[in-house]
Amino acid sequence: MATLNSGTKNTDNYDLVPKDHKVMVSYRGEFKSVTSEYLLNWIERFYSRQELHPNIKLKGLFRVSVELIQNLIHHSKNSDSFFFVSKSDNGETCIVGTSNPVTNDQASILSSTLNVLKNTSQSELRGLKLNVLDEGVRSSHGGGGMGLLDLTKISCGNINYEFLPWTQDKLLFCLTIQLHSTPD
Amino acid sequence: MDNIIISGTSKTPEVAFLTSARTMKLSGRSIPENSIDFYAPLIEWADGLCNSEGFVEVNIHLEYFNTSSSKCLMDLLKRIEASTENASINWYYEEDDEDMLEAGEDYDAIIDLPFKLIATEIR
Repeated sequence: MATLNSGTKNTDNYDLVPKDHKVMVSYRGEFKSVTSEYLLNWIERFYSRQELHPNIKLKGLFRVSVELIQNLIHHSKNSDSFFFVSKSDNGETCIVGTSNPVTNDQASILSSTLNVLKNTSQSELRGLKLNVLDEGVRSSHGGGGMGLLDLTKISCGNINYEFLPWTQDKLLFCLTIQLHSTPD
Repeated sequence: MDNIIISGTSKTPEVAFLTSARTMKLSGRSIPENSIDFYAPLIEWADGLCNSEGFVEVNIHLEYFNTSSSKCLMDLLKRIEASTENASINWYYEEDDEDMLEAGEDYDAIIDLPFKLIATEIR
């Protein structure tokens, strides 16, 4: 487990991890390309040693981790950014989560986007993804709003978020993706 | 036109774009942080090849890719589609990988070129 100094603000990052889960990998700090490579290599190595339900595939876990880590690289230049992967004691659930400080305006956009996605069916999500893929705009790094959509789809809607108090002008955006052995 | 041969890395796919064979192959994983930087020269190369006479075969055999790569792949396939009708796409996926199958089906639904979805054994 990576070294972590949490709790410097009002919230302990480890509060995101359920009590019946063990943390497999965690990292707190600014996320850069080299950090991403290090964490993803670690996840691959750890996966082969973990007793996880066979329905939780490395590819799914890896895809979710890639999107979340790259979200932090692109959108959070903050040393308080946090990433973790945990698994339940029975191996039937994995959680991949991140937290990073955001402004009130960013929080507003994130919550409205996530609320729409969470209330969209799997078949509608696929249609939405096709539409974004075919006609959507893109950002300078090549994305363009597909990340959260894809995360919602991969997790079968098991995507949760909350905003916790952080500093006077920022909130802590906490996002968790659950991968279940029986996702539906 | 020179061939483009690039070895795969932990974040970028192996590339074999061959002028005389008129084939393009992408394999491995595609998860670069900035996929536009990686794919822009490939798209330009594909445009050049597809605007010359002859059949073009595209082979995509990716293990997985991030969402920004998915848009760049779409750009690549759309550029090929816009440049020639004389091309086909082979999309390879491991037989138990429903996500990669579904991704192939999504591209097939959008791109108006012959498109084969080919299951391979699990590695």
